[in-house]
Amino acid sequence: MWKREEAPRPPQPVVPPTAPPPPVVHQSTTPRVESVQPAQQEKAIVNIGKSVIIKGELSGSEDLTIEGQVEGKIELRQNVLTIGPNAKIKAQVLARAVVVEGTVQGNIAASEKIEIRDKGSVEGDLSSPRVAIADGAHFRGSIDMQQAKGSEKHEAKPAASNAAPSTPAPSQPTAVPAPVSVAR
Amino acid sequence: MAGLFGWGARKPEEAPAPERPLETTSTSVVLPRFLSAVAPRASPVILDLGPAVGTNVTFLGERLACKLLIGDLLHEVQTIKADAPDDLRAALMSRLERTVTSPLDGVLCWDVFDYLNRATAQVVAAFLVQHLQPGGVVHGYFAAAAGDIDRCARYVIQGPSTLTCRYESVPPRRRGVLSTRDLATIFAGTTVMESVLLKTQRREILIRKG
Repeated sequence: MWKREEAPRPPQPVVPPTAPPPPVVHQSTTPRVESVQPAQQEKAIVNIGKSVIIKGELSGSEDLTIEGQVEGKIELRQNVLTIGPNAKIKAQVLARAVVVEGTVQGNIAASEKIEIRDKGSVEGDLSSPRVAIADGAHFRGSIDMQQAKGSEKHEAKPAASNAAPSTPAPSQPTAVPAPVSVAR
Repeated sequence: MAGLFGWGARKPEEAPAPERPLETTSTSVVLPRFLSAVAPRASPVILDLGPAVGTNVTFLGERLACKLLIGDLLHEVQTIKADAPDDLRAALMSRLERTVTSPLDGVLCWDVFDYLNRATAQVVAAFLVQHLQPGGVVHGYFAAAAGDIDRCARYVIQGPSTLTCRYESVPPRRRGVLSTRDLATIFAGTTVMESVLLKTQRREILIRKG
């Protein structure tokens, strides 16, 4: 059966839109997709259970859910960290996104988002472009969201400040107004 | 028959008292002035003396791109007994010293000063003025009439000039009243820029340093 299909394949490029070959192709591709998805899901679900206590530095490159206790440092720069309702964290946290449902004592920095859900508790400093605190959540500390708009401001500032000291670019002969704005 | 089922036992006096609203929304005249005073400042730092409110964090973060310090002094007010003012003062100052790590461009007091006696209010105000940058502003509600407080408000910024108060019960305590002269004294070195008397017997005030 396979030999028969292999034989007509060379002429396939000549007649691609024919109906009969596609079912064979579908049969071979669909299982591939199904086999990839569960693997990704398995990767996504990684838990540290209630009874686990970690003291030290925890780092990784996949999403993580913590239900136990961690003291020290947690670093998942490219991934999502979920601190479950039973978790007690005394650590500095670095991640792409952090979801807090439990208790955290320590500073949290996220490149994307920090979310403190109701019944979540954080005492420490938050640094992220987006911070969401639900009603019922407890938080004490500072929140630095300057990365989001701050980047826009910083983009604008160097344009003005750099224009004055550096030699004006040939495309910016109109940089004359810049010293005026600096003088103000 | 009526007595058997207890119908007759009902008296008009037992009708429950009308419940006070758990939430009120009002317009603020002073808050827009506060925002416009802070907005032009580069990377402003704002101290919120009230509890963390997600809506406020989002609003202030998006509108001002500021660094927000959450003091949550009401936590100390609620946990320390009203008859221990010295303990309260010490706890509040300890909390403020840990929270305020950089010069301030704005302070949102809300109604925290209503919960403080004069001596404590003076110490807290002096601390705020000391850490406020020149041109920095303080927004707050101050009681205009004496009375008891039996519930505290959580202020939610709905818009530049719209605030919602969400109330929750607290152990009753005496409300601290600060007159305009008192405010000038305890916030020495500042000027009252705006003072609006509200129907709720309170004044909404904007204070500016320098």
